Amino acid sequence: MEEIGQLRIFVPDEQFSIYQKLGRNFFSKNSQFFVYCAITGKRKGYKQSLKNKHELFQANTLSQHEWTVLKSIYYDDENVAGTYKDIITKAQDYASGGFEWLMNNEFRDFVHFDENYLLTGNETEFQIKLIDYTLNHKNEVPF
Amino acid sequence: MKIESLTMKNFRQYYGRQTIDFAQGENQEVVTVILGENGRGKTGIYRAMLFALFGDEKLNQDTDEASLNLVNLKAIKESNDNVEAEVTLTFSHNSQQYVISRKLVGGLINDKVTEQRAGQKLKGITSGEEWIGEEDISLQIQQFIDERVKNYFFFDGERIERLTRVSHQQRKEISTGIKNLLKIDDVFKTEAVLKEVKSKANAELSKYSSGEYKKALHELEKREKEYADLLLEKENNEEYSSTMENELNNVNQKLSEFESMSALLNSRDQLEQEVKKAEAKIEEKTMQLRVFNDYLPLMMGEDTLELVQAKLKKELENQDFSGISSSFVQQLVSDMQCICGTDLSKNQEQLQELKSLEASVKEYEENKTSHELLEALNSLFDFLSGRKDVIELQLTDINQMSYEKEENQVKLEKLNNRLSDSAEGEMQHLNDKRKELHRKIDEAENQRERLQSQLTSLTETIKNGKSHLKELEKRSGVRSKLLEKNDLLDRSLQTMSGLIATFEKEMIEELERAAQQNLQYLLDASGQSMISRVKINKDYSIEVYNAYNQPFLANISQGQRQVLSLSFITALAQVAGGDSTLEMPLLMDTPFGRLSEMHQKNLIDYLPQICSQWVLLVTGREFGEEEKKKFEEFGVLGKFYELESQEAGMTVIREKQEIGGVKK
Repeated sequence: MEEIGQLRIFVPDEQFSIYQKLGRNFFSKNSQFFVYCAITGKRKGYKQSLKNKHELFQANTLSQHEWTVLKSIYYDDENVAGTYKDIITKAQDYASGGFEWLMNNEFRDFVHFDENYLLTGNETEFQIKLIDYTLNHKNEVPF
Repeated sequence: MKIESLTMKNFRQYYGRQTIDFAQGENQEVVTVILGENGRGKTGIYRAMLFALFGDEKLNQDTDEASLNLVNLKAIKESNDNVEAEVTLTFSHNSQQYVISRKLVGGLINDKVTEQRAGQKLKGITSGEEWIGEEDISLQIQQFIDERVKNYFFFDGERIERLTRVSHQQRKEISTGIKNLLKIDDVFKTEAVLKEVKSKANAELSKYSSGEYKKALHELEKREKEYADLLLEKENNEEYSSTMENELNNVNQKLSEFESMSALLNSRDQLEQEVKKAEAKIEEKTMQLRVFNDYLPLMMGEDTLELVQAKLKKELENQDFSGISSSFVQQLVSDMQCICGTDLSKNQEQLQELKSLEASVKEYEENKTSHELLEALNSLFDFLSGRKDVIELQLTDINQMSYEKEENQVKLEKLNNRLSDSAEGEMQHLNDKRKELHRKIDEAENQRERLQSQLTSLTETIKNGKSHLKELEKRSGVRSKLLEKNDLLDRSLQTMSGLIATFEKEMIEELERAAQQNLQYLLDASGQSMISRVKINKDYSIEVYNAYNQPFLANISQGQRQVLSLSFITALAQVAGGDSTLEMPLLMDTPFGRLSEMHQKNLIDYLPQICSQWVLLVTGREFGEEEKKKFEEFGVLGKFYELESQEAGMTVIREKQEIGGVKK
C-alpha cells in the first residue's frame, strides 16, 4: 500500500458548509462527520460520485480508528484491501450519499436547502438527535 | 319607620313586576336575607329603595362617568314604544301606613337608551292623604327619615370597606358623617355669612385707614386671601384624592373578580419558570454530551464493522502467526535444524510439521493487510467498549428531563387556553391603571402635606398679623366705629366656631361611645382583650387603643378592621336614630366579607337587638348553610329570598319557602 502523503478528502460543494459547521461546533475535526456520513452511506447503500467538490481535510488527519472504518467499508465491498486512494474515493462517494440520506431523513428538521445545505434550528435538540440516532440506529426497521 | 314591601316593575334587572315582603319583627324575626351572586341585582334593591324614598337615581358609589340605566333593558328592547319602570315602597311610621311610588320611562333613540322621570306619589294609607309634588313628598319623607343621615341606614359593602382603610376617604366619610349628624346646617350657614360680612368690613376698614396700620391691614388681608386660596386648593386636592380613591376601589373590585385568574396566572408563571429551568439544565447536560461526539462516527459503523470482522475472521481462520516470518521458517527447513536443536533429517515427522508451518506463514504474509485490518477492528471494538453505556446513561437523564419539560409545556398550553388573551389584557390594563392611581394618590398626598404645612405657617403669620394690628390700633388710639364693628365680627366668628367645635366634640364623644360599645359586643374574645378604646382623631381618622392606652390600629387584622367599620357605621345609625333601639331599618350590602366565624355570630346576635329591621344583601360565598343555621338558631330570620338570573339582565326574585325546616 502506498503512503497517505498529500491525499485530500473532498465533499460536494453544497454539503461543505454543514461539514464545516459541524466540524467546528459539534466535533473536534472535519474528518469525524465525514466518517459518520461515509458509514451511514454504506449502511443505507447510498453513494454518489462527486461533481463539484470542495476540499474538506487532508487524509493524514484521519485517526487510526477512522482509517479502520474506511478500510472496512472498502474491504466489505471489494474483498481486498485497496489503496488509500481507492479507499478514499469510495469513502467520498458513500459520504456524499450518506450525507444526503441523513439530511433528508434523520436530520431534516435541522437543515434547510437552498442551493447549499444550511444548519438551522435548535443546536441542543440537534445534539440530542445526533446521539439518539447513533445509539439507536441498529433498531431501525430495515428497508 | 318600617319597610313592609318593595315592588319593582321593569327596574334595573327586575323584568316585569316583582315584590319583596320584608320581615316585620314578629316573634323577633327582624331579618330579611336576600341572597344573590354578584351582578344579580342586590345593589338594584338598594337603589330601588333610595329611588323610591328620595328619588335618587345615582348612589354615592357610582362614578360620575358611569352611565346607568334604571329601566330594564330587556323590556326596552322588546318594546317598540317607551317602557315604564316603577318602584313602590310600602312602609309604616308611628303606626301610620304609607306607600310611595316613583316612575320612569325609558326608550331607544338612535340606539341609545334615554330615560326620564314620569311622576311620583306618596299616599298615606291610614290617613288617606296624598302628595304628588316632588317638594311636598320630600318634606313629608324628611319627617320619617332625615335625608342627611339616610346613608347610615342604607349602607353597602363598599362603605364598610372604605372605612376599614386609613385614607382620606375614611376621614371624609367620618367628618361628613359628623357634620350631617349635628343637623346644625343653620349654624354652618351663619358662620359662612359672618365670614362674608367680616371680609367686607375689612375692605371698608382698609379704605378708611392710613399709614402703617393700612399697610399692616393690607398685609393681613393678603395673608388671609392666601390662606383661603390654599384652603380651597387643599379642598380640591382632597376632592381629587377622593375621586382617585373611588376609582382605585372600583379597579380593585374589578381585579378581585380576576382573583381566580390570578391564581392561574401564578401557576402559569411557575410553569414557565420550570420549563425555562428545565431547558437550561437540558442545554447544560447536552453540552456535556458533546465530548462523546468523537466516538459517534465509530459507533455508527458498529454493525457494519462487526460484519467485516466476522468476514475477516472466517477468511483468515487458523492463520494466527503474526511475528514469525516465512524466511525464518525456510532457513530452518534448509538447515534441517529446528530452533530447539533437533536434527530434522533424523526426525521426518517434525520436518513435515515445519514445512506445513512454512506454507501457513507464507499464506499469512500474503493476507497481511487483512490480518492488520482484523487487528485494527479488534482494537476499535476494545476502544469503544463501555462508552455506549456511559452515553446512554447521560441520554436517559436528558430524555427524562425533556419528558418532564414536555409535560409542563402541555400543562402550560392548557392553562393558556383557559386564560383567554382578552381577559389577560384587561387584567393587565387594570393593573396598569391601579399603579397609575396609586401614583396619583401619593402625589396628591404629598401635595396636601405641603399645603398643610403652608397653611400652618400662614396661620401663625395671620395670628401675628392680627396682634400687630391690635398693637397699632392701641398706639394710634383709633377706636372708630369701623374698628368696633370689626372686633364684634371677630368675636362673633370665634364664638360661632367655638359653638360648632363644642357640638362636634359632643357628637364625636357620643359616636366614640356608641362605636366602642358596638365594637366590644361584636369583637371576639381575642379582639376584646386587644382593643380597649375607640377614638376619632382631630383629622377625623379612627384610632383604636390597646389596654395600655397606646394606638393600636396598625396591629389589628383586616377582619377586626371590618368589625370596627361596622361598629362605627352602626354607631352613626344609632346616633342618627337618637335611640338605643333603632327605629329605622338597617340595610347592609355584603357585610360579612372578611368576618371570622365568631365575629359573624356576634353580629347576627347583636344587630337584631338594636334595630327594628335588618335587611341583608349577601352572596353565596358569605351566606351558606352554616350562616343560615346561625340565623335560625337565634330565631331572627323572617324572610329569605334568592335572586336567580334567568338570562343576561333579567333576575327573578324567588322566596325560599322553608326557614328552619318549617314552611312559612
